[in-house]
Amino acid sequence: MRHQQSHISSVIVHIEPNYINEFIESIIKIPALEIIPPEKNQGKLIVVIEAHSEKSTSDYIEMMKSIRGVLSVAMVYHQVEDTHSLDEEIIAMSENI
Amino acid sequence: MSMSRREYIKYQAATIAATAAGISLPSSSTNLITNTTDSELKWSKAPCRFCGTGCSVNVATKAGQVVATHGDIKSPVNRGLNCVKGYFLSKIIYGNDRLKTPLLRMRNGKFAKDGDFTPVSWDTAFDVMAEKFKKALKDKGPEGVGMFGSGQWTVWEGYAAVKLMKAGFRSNNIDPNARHCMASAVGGFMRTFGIDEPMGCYDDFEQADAFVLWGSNMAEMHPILWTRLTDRRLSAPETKVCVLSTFEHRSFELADIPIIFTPQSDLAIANFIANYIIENNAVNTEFVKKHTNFRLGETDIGYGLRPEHPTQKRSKNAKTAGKSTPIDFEAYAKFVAEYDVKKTSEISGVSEDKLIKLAKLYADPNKKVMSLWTMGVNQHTRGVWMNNLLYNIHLLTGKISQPGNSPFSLTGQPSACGTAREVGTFSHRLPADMVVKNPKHRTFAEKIWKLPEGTINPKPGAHAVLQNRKLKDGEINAYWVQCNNNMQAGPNMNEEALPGYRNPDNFIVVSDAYPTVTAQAADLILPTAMWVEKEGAYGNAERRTQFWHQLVEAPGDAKSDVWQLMEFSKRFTTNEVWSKELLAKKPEYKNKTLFDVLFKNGNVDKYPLSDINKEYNNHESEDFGFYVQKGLFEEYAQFGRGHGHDLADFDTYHKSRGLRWPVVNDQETLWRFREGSDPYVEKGKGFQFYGKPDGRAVIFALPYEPPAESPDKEFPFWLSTGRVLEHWHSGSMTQRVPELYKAFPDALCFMHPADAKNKGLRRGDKIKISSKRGAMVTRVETRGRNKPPQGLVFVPWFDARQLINKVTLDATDPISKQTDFKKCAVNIEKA
Repeated sequence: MRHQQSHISSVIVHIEPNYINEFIESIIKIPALEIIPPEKNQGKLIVVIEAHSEKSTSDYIEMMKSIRGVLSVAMVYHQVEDTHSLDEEIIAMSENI
Repeated sequence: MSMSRREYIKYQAATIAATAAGISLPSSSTNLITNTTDSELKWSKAPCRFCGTGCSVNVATKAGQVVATHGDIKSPVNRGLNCVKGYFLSKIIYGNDRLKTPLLRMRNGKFAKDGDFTPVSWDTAFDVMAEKFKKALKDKGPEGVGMFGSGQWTVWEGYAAVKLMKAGFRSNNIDPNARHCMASAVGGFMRTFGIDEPMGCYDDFEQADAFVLWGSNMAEMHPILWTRLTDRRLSAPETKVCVLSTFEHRSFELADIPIIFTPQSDLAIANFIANYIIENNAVNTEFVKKHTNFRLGETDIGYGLRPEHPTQKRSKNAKTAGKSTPIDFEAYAKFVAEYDVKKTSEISGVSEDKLIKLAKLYADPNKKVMSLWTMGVNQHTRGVWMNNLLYNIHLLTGKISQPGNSPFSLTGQPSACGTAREVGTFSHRLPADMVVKNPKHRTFAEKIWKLPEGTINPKPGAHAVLQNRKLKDGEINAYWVQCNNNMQAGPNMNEEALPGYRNPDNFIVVSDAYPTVTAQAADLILPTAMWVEKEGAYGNAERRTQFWHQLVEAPGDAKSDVWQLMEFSKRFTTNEVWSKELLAKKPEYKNKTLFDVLFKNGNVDKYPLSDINKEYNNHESEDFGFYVQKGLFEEYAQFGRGHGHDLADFDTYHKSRGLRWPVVNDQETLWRFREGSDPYVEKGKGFQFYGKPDGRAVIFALPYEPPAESPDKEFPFWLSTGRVLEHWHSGSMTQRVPELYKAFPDALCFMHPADAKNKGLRRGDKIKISSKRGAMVTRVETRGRNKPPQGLVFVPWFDARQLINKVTLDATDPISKQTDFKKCAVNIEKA
């Protein structure tokens, strides 16, 4: 039997700078998406997606593409993992690393 | 502080994306670790499997499977980005219907043309196949066998195939599917510059002030390059983008000058721009005087149809299509003078205002212009001309070979350049731009290959479309297709392709990873190892050669194309396939197998297994007992070194993210033909187009001529075909990725709402598209990403169940023999 899988991905969103706040507001409520806002508004930002299939991953991407002001959504990273393994603690770090 | 695997992966995903985007993350997230590596995953690099852009991806394996990919930040091509195709790369090798064993059509335990596909061993498969190839060679000579290859072949696969066909079987009947997409581009390069492939490179994207897309839909077809173009447009607001097409598509979203033109009228538009440049004194006179010649091309050259076709019969100069005669600048200026803005606007349907705006981009001496094109220009019955005309514009203004000034012919397949073109897998070619017709080139090849003089046949073989005709006519009887889906991609398949495959006199072999339409039309299917299941090399559109290692094992008995070619060559002896006269020149080759002569020749078997990186497997080398890929590559590289096609040594490529040839003294070349940038340009010349003996590029006088077929009363619509982003390579791989399939599940017919209304059709209605040749049923789409003007419909060609190529015309460019998939006349009715 296959375990439940999770797909973690990151994308770069190119967006007309005037629309960037509107974009953030419209996707911030979606739990599967995490926005990493840049330090300054250069018309691009990073979104990390955690979804249960590639299908829903690509649905999120299509959805972002359809938001006003979005010029392109470029994929960068994609990894498949068994969902149950995601909560394992793998790194114990000191503050100084 | 601690971190879960989820947080770790997300952090990694975000960091890599931020690096790729060139943006810094907020400080709160940057205190996290940067030097811990996830030891569960083994990361390696590989170029993407899909298009000609040549993005590099990092591929992670875990327990023998590909589990993660990300855009390679160290890659100068994609700088960490990945497009929707590349994103799901890992999935293409894990489709449910992956072929794992050879399948032969059998009845009562024996091969039968009308039998059912039955699993057999490699031995049985090759036994039957060798018998059929031997019979064809005996009955018809070298012309009786043929091979259809691919711009998706790795460099060494294409090279081994060329050797087996041209040297082993002494047949030039080998052609790549790149004939359908790149042949006109090659023809254009050879006619204008005398040497193949773009002079510029992707670095031009960050330097150009204006981009002109000639028929190309980069937003969907080359998304990574489109991202670079978009970045430039947004970061330098003065940058202008002009998009020309016969219908509106996604790239129009960024267009400052959007232009919809009537099919075929691009010829007139290009001539108008040249005329505008001359009339407005924008010619770079010094450059033109020093570095160019002018020639008048042959006209009325036909449409590459069968000689008995009425349209073809009417053409006066079909036999001398490539001819041209020298003229001077004044004669050229007079020739293009008729393409004034009024006439051009009438031919093209483009407003005078827009035509002038476009011409000004090129004419302004302070604007650096990058022109970009792919299939719109190449799949054209005047494709070579159109390539020539675009170079004319850049040559007249001297906007060439400098950062940002770049006529750039893009490619569709990952190794259309690196394999199909550079290795010389075309029916008339040899490696490094050499041709079989030239006796010096044949001698050169025979020397490297250690073959008796006269082994290589001087007569060009059958090109792609001619191969199908010859199969149908029973002239080619044994035929091997590797790494492509021609039954779906080839034109006019009802009349020309399928009858040839099913002709009882013929034996058809198809090597593929999946049961494509082509595989199902074959007699024998060979299961193929793909992408990172083998060690490979591709060459992208900017002359960049890139390598990868075998990262995982292929499923079942699947083997790479190079293994198949070399193993098959063991079944033939020289006595069986060469004449006595030829063998008499090299008696030591008597009774040797073709494997011994071609691959155990002291070159290909030169490098021991110990040269292979221990971290990776290599299934071919393990079988043959020597480092197959290195031997093939190093022998092949001898063709180009010292001739402007220099490749670095084999091991260098495994360490780098690819290098752009010519690579001289370990330095790659970014812009060719310019002093200081290209080591082949002599000192003091400034520019030197050294592909031509006098160092001058050619500006061609070539007119507008009408297409092979235009809409009429009975067939009132233009039909254009093409791709959509989510599918590539006729869908044989991408349709196996469910999320790509879902994004664009069935082929549709995009048409203008007014045309639909006139025909009494509504969105989603079932319709029949018919031409003089055939028909197909599909559904109407009046919205969506592609918006044709009235009078034109667009149908993507990837769907195996809806074969638009039953409808298209097999008209080709008479010079390049490339098919025009972009225009024919059709009717639309409710089905």
